[in-house]
Amino acid sequence: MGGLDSLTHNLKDTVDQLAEGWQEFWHKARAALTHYTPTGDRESSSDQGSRWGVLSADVRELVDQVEVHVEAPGMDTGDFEISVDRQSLRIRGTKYYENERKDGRYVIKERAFGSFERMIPLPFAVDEKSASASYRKGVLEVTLNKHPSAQPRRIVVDA
Amino acid sequence: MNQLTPFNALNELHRELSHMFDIPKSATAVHGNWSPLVDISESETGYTVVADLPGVKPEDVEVSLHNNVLTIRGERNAKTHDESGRVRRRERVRGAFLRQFTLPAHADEEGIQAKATNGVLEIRIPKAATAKQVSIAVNEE
Repeated sequence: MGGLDSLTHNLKDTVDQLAEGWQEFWHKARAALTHYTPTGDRESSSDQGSRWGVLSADVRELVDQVEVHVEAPGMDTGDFEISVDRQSLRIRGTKYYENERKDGRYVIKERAFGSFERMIPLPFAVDEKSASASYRKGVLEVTLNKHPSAQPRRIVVDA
Repeated sequence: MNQLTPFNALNELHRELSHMFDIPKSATAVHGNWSPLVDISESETGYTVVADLPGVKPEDVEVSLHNNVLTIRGERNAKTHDESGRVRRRERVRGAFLRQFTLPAHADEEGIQAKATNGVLEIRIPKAATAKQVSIAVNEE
């Protein structure tokens, strides 16, 4: 194989691998992929940080509740704004640079800062007033009661 | 240590996010199920490495510095203690994570410190006192 042929071949391989990686990534992360908007302070606009982050979420259905866990490290509890619509959970927040301890100049900068928003669809209707949230080790936990209409109906079997 | 070079938006996005998932071979050279995102800054006195480790217990993180290679490794949700109920959505990656960096030769292995707050691990590595500069006079002939 000539030099040009092998070069073309290698290039094609690389492109294929990249496309494959993208596809798999997209499949796994499309819902969690979240854009971060700079808050406008000097630090966030001058530093070339990432504008994208992944807010990965797990949703688990219990007998009469639903539990949502969202990975959002480096936040203060007061910087979350959580709202519930009948069948979806909206999490907004701002991750501030000021919470960071930085020395000198950045060599690597991958973590995203700024304000973000993510909507998580819920598998059934929930009772908006029942929401409770806690934040531990960078993971936000939101617990909601099922809406009465989504509660399992108990059917009494007559003797 | 790697320098951050400005990529176009697409490449940058791919690079930053692909290593959080177990995408095979092509994209990044990382091991483990996932790999934390980091910020590394350098000052005259040392390095600060900040890594996102949401949901990882401090006792499940191992930080080591050996032959100037800084290793952050550990495991998330090693024990599935709260897996009751029915999973309706699962995006969080579980299991082992690993990330390594080669530091310049003058890192002080003894002085390394690490602490975790709100799922963020901060490692501070002081630079070792370098040998005094020796100036050599050049004589004119």
